Amino acid sequence: MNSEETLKAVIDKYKLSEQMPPEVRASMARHRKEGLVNILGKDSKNTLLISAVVSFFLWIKKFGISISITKSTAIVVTAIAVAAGTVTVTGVYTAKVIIRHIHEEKQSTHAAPDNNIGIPVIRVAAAPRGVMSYDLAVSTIEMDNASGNKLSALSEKIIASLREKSGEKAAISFAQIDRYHIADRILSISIKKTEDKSGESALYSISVKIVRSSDSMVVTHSSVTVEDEDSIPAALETIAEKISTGTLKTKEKQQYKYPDHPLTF
Amino acid sequence: MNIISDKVKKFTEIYSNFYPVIFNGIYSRIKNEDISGELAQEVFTRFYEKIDSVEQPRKWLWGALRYVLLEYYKKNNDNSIDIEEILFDANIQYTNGFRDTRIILQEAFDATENYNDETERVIYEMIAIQNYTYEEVAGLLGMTKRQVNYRYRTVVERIIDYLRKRGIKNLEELL
Repeated sequence: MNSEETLKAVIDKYKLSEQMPPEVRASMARHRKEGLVNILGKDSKNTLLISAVVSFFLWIKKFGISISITKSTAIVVTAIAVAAGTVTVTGVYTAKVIIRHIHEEKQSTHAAPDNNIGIPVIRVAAAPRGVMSYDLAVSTIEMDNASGNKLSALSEKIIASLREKSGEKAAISFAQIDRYHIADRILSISIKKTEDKSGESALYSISVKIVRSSDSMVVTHSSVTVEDEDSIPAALETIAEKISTGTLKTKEKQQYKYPDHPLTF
Repeated sequence: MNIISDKVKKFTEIYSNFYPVIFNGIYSRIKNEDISGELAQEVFTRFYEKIDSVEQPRKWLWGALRYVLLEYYKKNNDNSIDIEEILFDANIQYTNGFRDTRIILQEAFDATENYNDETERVIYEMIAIQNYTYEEVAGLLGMTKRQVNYRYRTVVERIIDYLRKRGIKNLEELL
């Protein structure tokens, strides 16, 4: 048995599983759609449009595509306009813009200008055809008492900064790593708030770790402290700048080993 | 209502990701699909009203799930079981010597360090606990099967390493 099968067997033996029969899973999918229509429809009179948008929003996920409710709305509205025969130049143009935008978003991780980040890179064996190799996989920033959306936004900002400075292959979100998208190193950032003894003021310590994916060794470990939460985005921008220019230095030597990261197959 | 307001955008993302685990959490106790759907909708309706003040959606949703279930049990005058114990400590049911190991396993599954984000936690719960296939999870969350497979495997390895550090050197020993 591989590790996944063993863990599942343990979960079953210790009665920690809550298995759902197939018919219940199908019922769940139906209730998920109905529930969302009912909740969003409470604030709106346009329940037909909401139903169509929600249906499309959930339906397209079956194809491995996740788009926002905003894009779903735009697509559905355009489709209705076309179906109603009220095609106008604006309508066709809008549809083309939306379709091109979605297509470009899906393709954005595949744009491949030459990487020139100017810092030493320890490469794993040359990636086989069809595999996109990036310098850094950026994990979602960790911070207590911060919303997931805020942390995701900060993480995406770091990725955007790294790409702006060093090219499209400089960074990718850790969530997008798979067999065909690999990275040489992993960037982890955690932010901790510490209060002074009087409790009147607080500092934010931003800890940065870069781990080599080939052997899970920590190659860079640094930290910076800011005086308030509003200064965090600027500090992250500075960190991205230092990573891009190769000037982010380890403040203390550590040789501990992370668990193996199977970023390559 | 502006259907593409920030509130709606935020809500629909959280709803589409967490609905399966919340529904299944209710169904595992109620064993009725339609009532589970109604109660799940109640949980998310309350969440929609409070979303601007919620910092940790997952914790909030599970807390709301417990209260909605409690209200359901009380409304149906189910006095045959100690409702609050069932809702707040599932481990209390097991007195056959499994309890300590269950607690350690549950701690491993709950530990934040084993997940990069809430999506990984949802993927893990749906596959390992609720027995969804990779294809089903991919279709529900808008990911490819490959992505789900990879992220699930990395979570499993972190959990196994977590257990190893706590004295469970080999999972096969537990079998």
